[in-house]
Parts: sequence; structure tokens; C-alpha cells
Amino acid sequence: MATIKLVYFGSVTDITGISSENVEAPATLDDLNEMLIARFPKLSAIRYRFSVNRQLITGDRQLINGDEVALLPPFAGG
Amino acid sequence: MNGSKYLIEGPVPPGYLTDLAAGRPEKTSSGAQSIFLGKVRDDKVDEKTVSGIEYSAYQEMVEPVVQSIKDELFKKYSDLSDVQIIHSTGLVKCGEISLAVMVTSGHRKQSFAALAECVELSKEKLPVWKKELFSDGTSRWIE
Repeated sequence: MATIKLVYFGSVTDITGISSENVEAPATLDDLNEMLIARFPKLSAIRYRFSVNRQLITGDRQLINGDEVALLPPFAGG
Repeated sequence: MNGSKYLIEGPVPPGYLTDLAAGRPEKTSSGAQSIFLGKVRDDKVDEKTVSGIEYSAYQEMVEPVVQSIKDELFKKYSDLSDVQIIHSTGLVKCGEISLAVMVTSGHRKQSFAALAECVELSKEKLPVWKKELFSDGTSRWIE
């Protein structure tokens, strides 16, 4: 069974209540997003992007065993 | 210092970058070094005053992002010889430094220009988040 690691940052952690977890991998990033919004409806009210294995992702992509997927609210360094 | 060489727990010490520069006297072909220090402001929001900022970062992503910022700057500024970026995690109080950037080049013009661009790129691309802490104990994420 394919497992991915999810990591949460910034305002997303207020919604998820945890900073990371391992979950069974859905087929794609879009599937994962749907799954997360069903579980944490408040995610639909905030802005965030995904990274997979520390690379920002635009659009959909397949997920494979061992991927590290992060939910990244807008960066605010400085 | 925590997991990344570009992150530091708590405020960046004021002399951090100058100490770094002083430790590299061999770079005698570089005539210009510019430093930017970003400090936490005591902004006022709805009658409340910011007392500090709690920073968090995606530590494992900081290193590749810093590398991509450096690559972009070195490609654009041919006179550049060194770029240093250091960002705080954890609590930084008002008046303390949360971001320090230093660029080194042969001459001052590229040093100034690359410094400004490096600060903008750092704020735009570093996977860092901040929560403003108010003196009344409340807080809010800044995005």
C-alpha cells in the first residue's frame, strides 16, 4: 500500500491541529486535496499551495509511495 | 542553529554577518559588501501593539530554495562573489533581527542591486511563516 507523509505549516496547522501525519496515498494531488477538504472543511476558506518532495507544484500530479506532500500557506518571511 | 545553515533559532545576532565576513579575509578581489538587516516592527493593529513575531519554516525546503535564489542572482550579476541569507525561526521580539542578507561583489553597484533583489526574493520564496504576537496575548497569522 502506498503511503505519503503530509506536512502542514502556518495557518493550515490551526485547521489540522497537527503538523504532520502519514496517510494512505490517493492517486493524485487533486484527489488528496479533495480528501483533505472533506476532512478539514475550513481549508476551502484559506489559500495554500502544495509541494511534493520540497518542490512547489502547479497543477495535478500522481502521488507515489514515500512522497512528502506539504500544504503551504502564502510565505511570509522577513 | 537548527536543521538548516540558513536558519537560526531566535533573533539573528547583530554581528552575525560581519563576523562571517571578517572570517574570510582571503576574498581580497571583492571590493563591496552590502548588508540588509530586517527587524521586527512594533506595528499597531486595532489598538493592539505587536510585541514580537513567532516564525516557523519548512526547514528541509529552505536549503533548495536558498540555492535557487543564489543561482538566479549569480546568473544575473556577473560581478557577484558571495550571497549569505539567514532567517530566524521561533520568537523574535520587536527591534530584533529576523532576516539578514549579505552580498559580496567586486564593485558597489552590483552589490547594492543584488542585495535589494536578494531581499525581495527571500521574502517571496523562502518557505517561512509568521504569527504576530500582540502585547495583550492574542496573535494572528500574517499572509
